[in-house]
Amino acid sequence: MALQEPVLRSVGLGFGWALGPRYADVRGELTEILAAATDAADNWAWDVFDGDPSILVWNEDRRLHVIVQPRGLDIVSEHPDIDAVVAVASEVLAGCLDALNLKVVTRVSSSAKWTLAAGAAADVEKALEDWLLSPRLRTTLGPIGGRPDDLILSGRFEADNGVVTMFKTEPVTDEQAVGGGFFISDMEASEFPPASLLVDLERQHTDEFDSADGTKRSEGVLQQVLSQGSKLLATVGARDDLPDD
Amino acid sequence: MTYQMIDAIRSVKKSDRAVFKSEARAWKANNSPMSAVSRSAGRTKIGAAGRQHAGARQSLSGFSRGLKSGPAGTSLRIPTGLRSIGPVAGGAAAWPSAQGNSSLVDRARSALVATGAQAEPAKPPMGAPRRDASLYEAAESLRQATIAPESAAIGWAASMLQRAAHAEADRRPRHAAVALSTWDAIQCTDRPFGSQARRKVLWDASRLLLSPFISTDDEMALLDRMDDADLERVPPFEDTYAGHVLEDLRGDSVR
Repeated sequence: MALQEPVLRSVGLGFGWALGPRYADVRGELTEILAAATDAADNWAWDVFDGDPSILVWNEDRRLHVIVQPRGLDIVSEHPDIDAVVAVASEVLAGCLDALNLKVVTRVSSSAKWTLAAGAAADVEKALEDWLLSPRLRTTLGPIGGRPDDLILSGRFEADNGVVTMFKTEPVTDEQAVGGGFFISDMEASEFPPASLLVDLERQHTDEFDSADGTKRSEGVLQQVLSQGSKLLATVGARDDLPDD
Repeated sequence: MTYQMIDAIRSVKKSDRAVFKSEARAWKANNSPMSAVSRSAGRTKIGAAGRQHAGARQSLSGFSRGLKSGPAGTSLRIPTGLRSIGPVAGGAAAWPSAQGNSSLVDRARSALVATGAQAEPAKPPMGAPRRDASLYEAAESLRQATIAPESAAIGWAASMLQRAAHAEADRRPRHAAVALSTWDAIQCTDRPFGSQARRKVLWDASRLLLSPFISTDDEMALLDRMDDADLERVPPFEDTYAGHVLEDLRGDSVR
């Protein structure tokens, strides 16, 4: 059975900067900036993520999350609302750089996640094999057990101009989609189909940008990710139409 | 953002655990403009509202923990969405009546009272409706209309179907398509519930809306059955803009 049309589940923007030594002193100010931009007065926390002290602010109704760390800022919308992440980025980035007394960001990134629904997990695995892997996958892997129970395909593309694109796809059930670490929001299994192919695409551009240029560049990268991701996903189930390499 | 980081963030949001939480609360109590306003009014905003908020969250998490673990011999797990819309106080009858469940509700209520939160009047603890509530409403209103096809019920069903189609268009495109097709059928057909065959098709449409997955075959089969039952999904030509224009032209030529 073919997979159904892709459904956009999440979009995100990210910014990296040189270590902000003032971070510890301006955590309160940063929290105020984030809370105002996300309209989330009560939903905030200070914690440590990935070994870095972090400020987390979230608006559960809008499924909007903003995380600031000494080395960067991440904005994620799982509604998803593209305009909202861009608006929040333009509002928050300038405030964060100003509070940290930094002039430029050194990295911008954008990401998106899609799901393509199917009725059963076996259909998704078969569709992934037909799309990007070999129909002989099961036969080839026969000596070690046939078709793997967990199949993840990831790729990384590095260009000379500092642009890195990361692609990852894997079959998930509705329960795995909710609890598998793919989404920050408090979602329910009923929001997802019984099985789906989850596709994650992220692009990073390492260069120096001021606040305005950084926001503009990240928005451009997000549009690239969305359009190129849609183009890629349109090839699901169309393998026979593609020319051989 | 790594999956490990996403897991860590979810953990912080759910458990209200934060390394610097007390430090953050102290900072906010002293520096937040809101707290300054409240202090000037004679009480500390963060101290009062913050405690109430924290107490409600604490009692809620305790409540959900109790439900997940359940009393001895039971394994009761209320879906997250149901927890979010279920009444905490005064609504015990709405909860599933598993063994020992009422005591859990009593515990939650007493926890609310103990933490200073108001047990009455009953309010949803988080206020957020289920994300798929519109689908359930649309399916139920359509089911009711097939049972008792009165004009009010039909109008309500049409309204709910249109709302569900808009709400689910991005998240569940197939459900939205079925809702929209059914709405079209109700709007564009003269007496859409006028025969047993039509009511059966619309009843099945309501069941399909509640299905977790709508395959292409199921969707096409429903459309075929609508056609077989003469449920029109486009308005009569006379009611379209082109039909009106043609009608006017005919009128002109007669004149």
